Amino acid sequence: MWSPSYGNVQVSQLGSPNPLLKLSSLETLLSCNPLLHSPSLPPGIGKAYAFNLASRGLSIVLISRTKSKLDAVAEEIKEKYPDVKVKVIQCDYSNFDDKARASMKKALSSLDIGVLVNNVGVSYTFPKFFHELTEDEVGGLMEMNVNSTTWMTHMVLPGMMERKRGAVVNIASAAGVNTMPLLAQYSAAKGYIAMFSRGLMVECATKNVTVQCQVPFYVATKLAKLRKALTVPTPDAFVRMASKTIGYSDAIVQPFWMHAVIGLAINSIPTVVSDKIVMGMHAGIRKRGMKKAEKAAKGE
Amino acid sequence: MSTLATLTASPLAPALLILGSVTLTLLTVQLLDSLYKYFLRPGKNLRKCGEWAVITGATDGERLHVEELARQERSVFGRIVKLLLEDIQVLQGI
Repeated sequence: MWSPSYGNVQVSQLGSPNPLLKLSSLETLLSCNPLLHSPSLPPGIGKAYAFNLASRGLSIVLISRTKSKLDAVAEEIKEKYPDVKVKVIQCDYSNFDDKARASMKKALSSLDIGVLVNNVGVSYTFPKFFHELTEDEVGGLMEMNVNSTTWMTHMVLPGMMERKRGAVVNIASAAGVNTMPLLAQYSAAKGYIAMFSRGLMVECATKNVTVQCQVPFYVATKLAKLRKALTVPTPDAFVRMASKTIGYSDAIVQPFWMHAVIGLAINSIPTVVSDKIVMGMHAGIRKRGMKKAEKAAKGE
Repeated sequence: MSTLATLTASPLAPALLILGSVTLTLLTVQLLDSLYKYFLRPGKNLRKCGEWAVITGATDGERLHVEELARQERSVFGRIVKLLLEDIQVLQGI
């Protein structure tokens, strides 16, 4: 079940391991949640954004679940950009309750935040029918994708509106703007982010604040073990193009050009056909995923 | 009379010409706009937005099924290419 325990937010400044806040651990939650109990995951778009924004002279606040990884990335940034200030905040968005939010708010309150990149998110372990998801998975998809972005934006936007400058960047997915059978809840969660961004973009325009939503297809993260290809950019290549769109007035952005071509192709065939193609593809992956999961269960 | 001659003689010809021109113009503008945005438009100076950038999920990659999806996608693509090549071979045989 969804853990009733308090959230986990820990703040420290690089170089001085100085935890201002430390709340309960999440081991219990993680151990009973197959969706979130993931092996150590390599960095992707979030880390690439951190380096890109650091190279453009912004100070960086890294937020993530694992303190050791945060420190490692912070060190890397410091090494490459010695003049850039880096701060890390440990936070598990799978349990971003009022206590965790209060801590986060406090940690961010004194900062002149110019750019917020809502990158955290989670998907299915593999495509499934919605009714096959466990309660933990259903909860996780909402917490990690919808609640994290909504609350973070609600926290940071007031300062931006007051200063009359700022940019919110929401990393969603092409699933947020296309029909995705067997990934329905993920698609819906990202669709929420897309509509959220569209409304906010118009609403905040008068205050010189932009809220955009990026909807990429596949990006070659180490996790995905994807080699870069014409249609699969590296996180760096993706972010190089994506970060150039920040601050402009398009609410929905397909940052990588080849992804835009794919999107155009998908949208130019009739929905009845494209829906069937995607459903067939995902059904195939689901079958193999189920087999793998079965084997893993037997192995244990 | 050829099809083209029939068409040009039709009273609808001017209307179709206008419709075609407008469509073509709109598509061209769209294409140029996209090319500009993707390849020429400079990024903004984000330092003007403020001092700090906050990035969530900055170290833990998103857990995706992408690996399998992409493999499948590649294999689908591979299959299409293979079919095309086979077709070409068949055609060459003729």
